[in-house]
Amino acid sequence: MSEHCCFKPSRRGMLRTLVGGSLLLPGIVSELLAEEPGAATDDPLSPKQPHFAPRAKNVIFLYMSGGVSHVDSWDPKPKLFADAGKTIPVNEFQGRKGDFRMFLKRPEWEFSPHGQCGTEVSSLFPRMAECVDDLCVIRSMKSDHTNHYEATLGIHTGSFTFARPSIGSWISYGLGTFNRNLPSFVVIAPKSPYAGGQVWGSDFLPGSHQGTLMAPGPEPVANIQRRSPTSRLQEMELAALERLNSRHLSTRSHDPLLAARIKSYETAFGMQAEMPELFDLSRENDATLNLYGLERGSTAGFAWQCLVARRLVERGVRFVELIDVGSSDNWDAHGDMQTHAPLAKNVDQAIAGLLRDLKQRGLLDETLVVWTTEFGRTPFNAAADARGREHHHWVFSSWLAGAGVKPGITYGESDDYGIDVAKDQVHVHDFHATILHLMGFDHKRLTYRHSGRDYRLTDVYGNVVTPILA
Amino acid sequence: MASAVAADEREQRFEAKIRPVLHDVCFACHGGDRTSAALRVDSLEGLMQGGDSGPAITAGDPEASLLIQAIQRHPDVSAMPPDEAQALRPDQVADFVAWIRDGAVWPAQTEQFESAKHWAFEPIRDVTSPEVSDPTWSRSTIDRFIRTKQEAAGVAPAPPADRLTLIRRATFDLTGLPPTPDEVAAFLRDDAADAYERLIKRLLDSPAYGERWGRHWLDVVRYADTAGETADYPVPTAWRYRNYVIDAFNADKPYDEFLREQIAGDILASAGPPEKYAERVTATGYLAISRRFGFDSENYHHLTIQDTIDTLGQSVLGLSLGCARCHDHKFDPVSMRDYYALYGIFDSSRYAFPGSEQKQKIRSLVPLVPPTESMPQWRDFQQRTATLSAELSQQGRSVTNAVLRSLDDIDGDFELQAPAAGGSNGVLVPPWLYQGKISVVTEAQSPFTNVYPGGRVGVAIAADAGAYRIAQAIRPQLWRDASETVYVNLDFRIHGPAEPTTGMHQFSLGGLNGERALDVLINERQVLLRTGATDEILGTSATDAWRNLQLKVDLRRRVVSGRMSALGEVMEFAERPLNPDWSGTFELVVFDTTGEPDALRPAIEYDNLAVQPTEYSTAKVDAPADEEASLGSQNTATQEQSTEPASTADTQAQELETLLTEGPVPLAYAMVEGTPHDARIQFRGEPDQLGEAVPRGFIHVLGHAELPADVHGSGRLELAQWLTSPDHPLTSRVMVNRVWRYHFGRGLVKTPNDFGKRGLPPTHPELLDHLAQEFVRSGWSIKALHRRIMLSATYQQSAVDRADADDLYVGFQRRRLSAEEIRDSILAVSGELDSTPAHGHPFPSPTSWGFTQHAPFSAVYPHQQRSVYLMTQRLKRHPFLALFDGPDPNASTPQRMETTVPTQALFFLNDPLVHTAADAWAIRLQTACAAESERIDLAWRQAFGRSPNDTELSEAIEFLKLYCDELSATVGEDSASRALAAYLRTLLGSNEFLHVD
Repeated sequence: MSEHCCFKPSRRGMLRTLVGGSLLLPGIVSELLAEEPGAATDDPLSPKQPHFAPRAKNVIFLYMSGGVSHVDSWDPKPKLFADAGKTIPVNEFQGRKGDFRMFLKRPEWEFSPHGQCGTEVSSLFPRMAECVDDLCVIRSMKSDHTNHYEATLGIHTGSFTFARPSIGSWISYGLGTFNRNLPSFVVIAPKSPYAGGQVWGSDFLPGSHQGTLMAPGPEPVANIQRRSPTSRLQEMELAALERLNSRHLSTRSHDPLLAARIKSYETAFGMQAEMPELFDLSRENDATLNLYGLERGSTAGFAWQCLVARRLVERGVRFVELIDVGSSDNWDAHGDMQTHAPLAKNVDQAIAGLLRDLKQRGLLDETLVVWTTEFGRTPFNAAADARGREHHHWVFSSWLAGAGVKPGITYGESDDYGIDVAKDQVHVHDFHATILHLMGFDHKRLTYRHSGRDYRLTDVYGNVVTPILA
Repeated sequence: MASAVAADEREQRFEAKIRPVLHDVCFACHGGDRTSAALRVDSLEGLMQGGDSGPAITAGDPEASLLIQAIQRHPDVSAMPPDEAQALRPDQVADFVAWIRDGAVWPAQTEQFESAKHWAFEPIRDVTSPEVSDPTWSRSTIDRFIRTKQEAAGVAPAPPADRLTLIRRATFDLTGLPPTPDEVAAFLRDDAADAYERLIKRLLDSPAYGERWGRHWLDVVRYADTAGETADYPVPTAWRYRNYVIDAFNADKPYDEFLREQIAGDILASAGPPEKYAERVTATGYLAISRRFGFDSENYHHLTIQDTIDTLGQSVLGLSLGCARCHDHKFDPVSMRDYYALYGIFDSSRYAFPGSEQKQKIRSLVPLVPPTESMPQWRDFQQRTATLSAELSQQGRSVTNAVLRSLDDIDGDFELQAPAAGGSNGVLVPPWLYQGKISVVTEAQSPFTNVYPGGRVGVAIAADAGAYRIAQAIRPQLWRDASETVYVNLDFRIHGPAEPTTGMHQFSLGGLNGERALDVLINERQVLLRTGATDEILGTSATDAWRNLQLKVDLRRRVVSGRMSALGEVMEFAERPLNPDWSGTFELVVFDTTGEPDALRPAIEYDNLAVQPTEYSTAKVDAPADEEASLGSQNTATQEQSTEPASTADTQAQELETLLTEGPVPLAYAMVEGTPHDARIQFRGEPDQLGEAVPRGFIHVLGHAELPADVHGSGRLELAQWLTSPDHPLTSRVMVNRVWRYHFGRGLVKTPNDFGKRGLPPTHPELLDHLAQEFVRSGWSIKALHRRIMLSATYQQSAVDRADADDLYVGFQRRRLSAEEIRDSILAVSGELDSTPAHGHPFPSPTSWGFTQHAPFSAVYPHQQRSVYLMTQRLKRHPFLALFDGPDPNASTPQRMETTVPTQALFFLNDPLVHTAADAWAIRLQTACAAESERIDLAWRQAFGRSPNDTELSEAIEFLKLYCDELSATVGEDSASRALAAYLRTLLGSNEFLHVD
């Protein structure tokens, strides 16, 4: 755990004089908080115990926006290669029911076995393919909706229609956080995804569980840059503020909520220092940067997002979501499957680098890495010469790696053409139940009372996929 | 108790494991109208009664149950489901075995609940206030109720708050703003016995009161300025409803009237008086702001209605009704029948349509003037915009895609209906109603453009479609006092069948009670007009060629004449009398059939239906037979006429832009009556899994829930009257509890949106009933309720921590300012607040809209006015409001949270709003006061209502000196005002500023 949790004023002596005693009283405030019996529970982010011993302490959730084609990446379908161009009957197409004849489309990347385990991965992801011995590839994922908005909401909140708390918010709610200088749930996205902020919203859960959005750029978090001319001046302001507040507090029987707000200024001050440090990659060595494929000084691309994710996890952030890219110029390859190629290039080495880096630092044992998308893409098309693929939620592929997950396996199967689940379906609800399980939660018991009902991430569904647990 | 829990678990297991399988697997053959082998599986009775093979289940005995043998695929019985590939999994079979073994519990709680008593459904009791042993403390009846419980618990009330605390508390409470130094001074000086009472009156009379309390109601009704579907379309006219709410609170509009206007204002408006017309129509924004869903939000209209019912239930009744969309409510006595009884009311109403990614046209906005005034203006508007669009497009200008459609436009060009492409199913959507096999397809597109410009789709009915019915109410209704003549236009095309037909297609106009003025009957041989007992031939029919039918109806003389045109021919027909049984009002158009339901009819397509009181141009028939060529030649003909120079085109483009942005008359995002009908139950909430129709009505357990048999409209007016009946057990209780909650930080019922069985019971049930009763007796006056509460000794106690605030009301619960109060107070004390009321937002012109889920609407519009006027988006929350626990714009917010997170502290440290305000404040103080100590004193009085004591003052002066020194050492310029601004920021970030004692 980092030590950036208290002020380190450079002119302590002068300030002592100013406030006539101890500066900013962090210790006193903490004692105050500890003395109040209800205080710890009033802090929604104080660390909490899950239902049972967790396998993972943190999650890195890699979300590929737009719909990655499963039959071009993680799900080899030799018969689809062989029968490409032939037609098949389909009774639903892009949300419309009817009897359609569809042309099978050949995958545009060849598959080959990799690693000790021999899991087949296509040449779309050559670097991730080198990591298959650490992955559990799920080839039987199922979603409920064929549209981006609903499917994106679904994979994040378990609800395909209404805004509900995001999975990261649920985990923050269940576990709290160890590092109060940083939020418990962080989202790094260069652009807004489908369904916007609902993707990381806490909805009815307390607001402190909502994801904090960070975007590459000079100010990844709002108001993180000090606006007072110098740090010393800001310290003086904080000292004066603290003086006002402690006098106010002392005449109000040490109200713990008032004390918590005083404490929040300490954290905010810490964040101003910790956040730039977090984003300062200058002390990462060349070997590390090379692992991710990140040019020194660059903040662009998924490589930067992945490296920052590692640094967040190191600093105790519970749930880090990386979104590639947003609601446009993404994996939504209607027009041409080859638009997958540059997108794959952007994420492939970065993700492989992240896995290796986590592993060599021993962090993969306590971090669950999730790779997913909102749905797959159709193995077939309405026209024989179509170059892209359409939305396909009947079956798609995701993978899990790290803490508590059996490495080097595949789970579930799609049918011969990758049209539907053939074996061991993993619905989005099952996927969520499994992630919560790895974090130490019974998904049926992680509930929140709202509007007269106990809500949970998995609604009334979900089964833990036990065969993939290590 | 133990058995009750077990029963509850069994019910939950049924909902989770059994019902979904029955529904998904068995229902296709054994549910609804489909009773294969005479077996129905959609009720326990159905299963117990069984089908051709006998009872399907024997409760408690799985082995003897045929259903188990069937799903186990036992060789002696027909395996179910028949298709081996769909066989149930072993765990599913085990669930069924366990279910039957445990008694085959089928939750149908309605009856059980109806007999069970629940406090909130009982009539409001006549309560007398108790006697207390400590009468000196009590100032009001409220106090006697509160004190009695305190006495029973052996606790004493907190001492009364000092006067400074009181004015600060009351001012924030009623206006959301801090008291000014002058107001504080005046109140502290005022020694009169009624000083506090007059303070309350002054605050209630302030326009800021409505801005504060209107916001509470806007929280409850999840107000937003955008629609909430995938692209979050802006709703530029939503603000009218927001301001209606603010004005209603300021005017102390009686709460019952306030509710009636919000639910049925459009209906009330037409009954007069004229000066209330606009206000009442605007009020129905309450319903219109219901959330929209999906890429093509009309395809998800059932979810929008759910959102309406949910919000109505929570805001007015304090009940969660939405759960009953999919199943009988598990915990409250609300059945699916109740839900669909309400659903029918809203499905019979027309929601303003904001546009969506799929359909970018804005439609059904409601004019704020009566139809007699708005209709001629719409005609001019449509004519002018059509002319301008046509001229501009002929000059090669791109013409905007966004179009404003009038309310009375029957949308008979079907262009606003779900088209065949892009995720829709090619069906008609409200306000159209239909049954049977019809589809909306591109092929059914008429070449005639005399009414609508060339479109993309029309309605097609196949030869083997069987019986069908398509209907839409005409709004506003057409009758002789409003307009003497009605003009009708309809295009159709027949496709000849292989064998002679026995049935006909029929198009009718008439009244809502089913009486018809005229029917036009069509088959492949002829077109007939039926206006009574006899049919007259209008002309011969032709297959595979479009025909245009135009009718002219004289409502006074009750006669019809017209013409039928095809390319190359015109058949005119002379006047003949209308059906003598017809009432004289056109309220409904119907497309349906004659003959046996399964009689053979030719395929037919319909397009370009229009019904209006002004004449249409006649269809052009002198074109070549080829339809494509005909359209082309029309375009060429007009193109030749247009020789206008480019500058004129610019002016025209500007005029079109203005017209489309502003509309022909002031418009509101509101409701009107639609096509009245009863809705059918939707199994599991899926609109394509229909059960029986449920008569429109209310919530049965609350009594008097039937709609009168002769109800003419949607039933909204009757719903509004039912809700606001003085003896309704919930409406008044729920509202007084809300008002109490906003004053005290917790309700007498601590779940303000849930008065059902899952909610908490009241801590002071008699007090709740007393307040509810007095509320109704006072004429539902909310301001009278404020006075009652705020004049109590209970309210005037000194403050305690939130953690210590208990059910006995010892002390007043300290609270943090709400998001709006924080921003408004910062602006107010710094002198930066613009206190004028705001109107609309600077949205981009609708003509430029093309928002998609890839690029949804997203904006933040800064201003200096009060926060209630900030533009509120559904998909992307306002960053400031989200940071300080603002309301959820997607669901009713009964109470705000009070989170404390470091990002809020960062706001006070670094946000430009705080820095700008502090800078401006510093300059104002420097201008107002010469001496530093005076500046500090004034700043404290503005921020906290009090002067600093000597220590506080000297600390401030010391801070300014040290800060100035540090500044000049490092920065160097204008240090005095910068230091003062820095000091003022500490005041703005302080707990004393941010909390109310």
